[in-house]
Amino acid sequence: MQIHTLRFLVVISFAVFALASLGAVPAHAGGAADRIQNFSDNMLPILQDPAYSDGSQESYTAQRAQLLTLIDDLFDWLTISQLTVSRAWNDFSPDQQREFVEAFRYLLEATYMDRIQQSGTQRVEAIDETEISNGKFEVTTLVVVASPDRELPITYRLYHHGVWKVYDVVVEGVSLVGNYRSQFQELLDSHTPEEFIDIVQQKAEEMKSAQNQ
Amino acid sequence: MNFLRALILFVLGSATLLQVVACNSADDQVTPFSDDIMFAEADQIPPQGTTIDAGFDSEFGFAEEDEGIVDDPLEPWNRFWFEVNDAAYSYALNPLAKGYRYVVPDELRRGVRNFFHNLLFPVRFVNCILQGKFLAAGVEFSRFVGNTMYGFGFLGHFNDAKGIVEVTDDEDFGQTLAVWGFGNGFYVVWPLLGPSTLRDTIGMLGDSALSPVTYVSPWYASTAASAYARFNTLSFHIDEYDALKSAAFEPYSAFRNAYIQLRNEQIRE
Repeated sequence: MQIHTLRFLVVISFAVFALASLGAVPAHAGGAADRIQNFSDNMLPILQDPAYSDGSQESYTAQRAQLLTLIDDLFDWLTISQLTVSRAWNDFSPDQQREFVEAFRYLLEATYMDRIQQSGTQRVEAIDETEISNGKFEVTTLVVVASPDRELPITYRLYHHGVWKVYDVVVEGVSLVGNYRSQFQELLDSHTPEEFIDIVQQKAEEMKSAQNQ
Repeated sequence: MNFLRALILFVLGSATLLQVVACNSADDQVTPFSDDIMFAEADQIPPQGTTIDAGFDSEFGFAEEDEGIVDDPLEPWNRFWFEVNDAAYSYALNPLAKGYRYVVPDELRRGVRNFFHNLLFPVRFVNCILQGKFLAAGVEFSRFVGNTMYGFGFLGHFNDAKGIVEVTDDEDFGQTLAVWGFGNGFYVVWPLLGPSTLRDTIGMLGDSALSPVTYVSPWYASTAASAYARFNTLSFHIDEYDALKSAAFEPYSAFRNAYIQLRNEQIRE
């Protein structure tokens, strides 16, 4: 009798244990990697479309617009901006916050789009997902580019709220948000929000005109 | 018998309890976002008059990811040498490396890189062992044997070969010290050698004791050899330096942050 009770308890405990384990699997597991896979699958044909490589300014601009639509869809510019500004964000007026989001996005566009368009991306390999914490996920990819011939490790950090959104990108071990945050911290220590936003806008213009030369 | 039963019940009970707790907290994790950032997906740019709530960082735990922070008590010294190194880089090393990259074929530069990489095998091997990465040490060892026997270290055929474990980066003594629990200490910029920390400087000294290049005689041949190895490596990374610098608002803090982040990443792997 005793043995039976014991066996029953053991079985029940295992059953509860197993059920609880099932429940502990994150509801969004796999979703982040799928989202990035989907993003790459959409980016690659545009990057490799021969229609855009005739060297004319128009097709280059058209290609950029196509790519930016996909990027804007995935990247949460507001959260990215907020994280780079960090504590000082609350000192910004709503107008300033909006201006900054626009300026910063424009700066990143001016900094990275040429390289994305001219890198000759061949394929994206090894999409792998890990949970960082608190419903935030990290998706690591290996982007194979033609010029210069190399593999570039790019990691996307995403959170899920209705849809997957990217809030940080890590290239070769350096987080974009982290790197800009350290610089913005320094600028914000010695400038008012208004001056700071001016500096960001100027830098974006500077990058833009350097490109056009 | 009673004691045994109590023990089993206790273990199973607490395991179940832990699972339930873990399960609940996992459920909490799925929706940690409050309504404050609802508009983030509805509209990228906050509409006029919207205030964005304080406490964003603490609420979503984004702040804990604030990487690349390091003490910098030597900032004036560091800034001075950063400027000097940057000038040396911009006016001497960069043009030289570009010329070198143009003149010397890719294969040869890769060969040189492989040769020095192979030569520094003792550094990686010993540090793998010291960090308890015995499988990685085995991979390093077999690559060394393969590369040395078939190609005198130049061809590097075995560098990309998949081993029993993935060797993700080159282990050095600075990383070993970090694995043993040493923090960065503080940030320091050395003339010509560039960014480092107290811990990584000690690491660098330790590694040079394991590097065959150190024991080349006379001393200037040894220095020239290691300088050439660094220069050859630089020829692969010119664009990255320029990219980071041109996009930077504050190049000094951008490089300091990038260095610390990069090292943290290498230590994690």
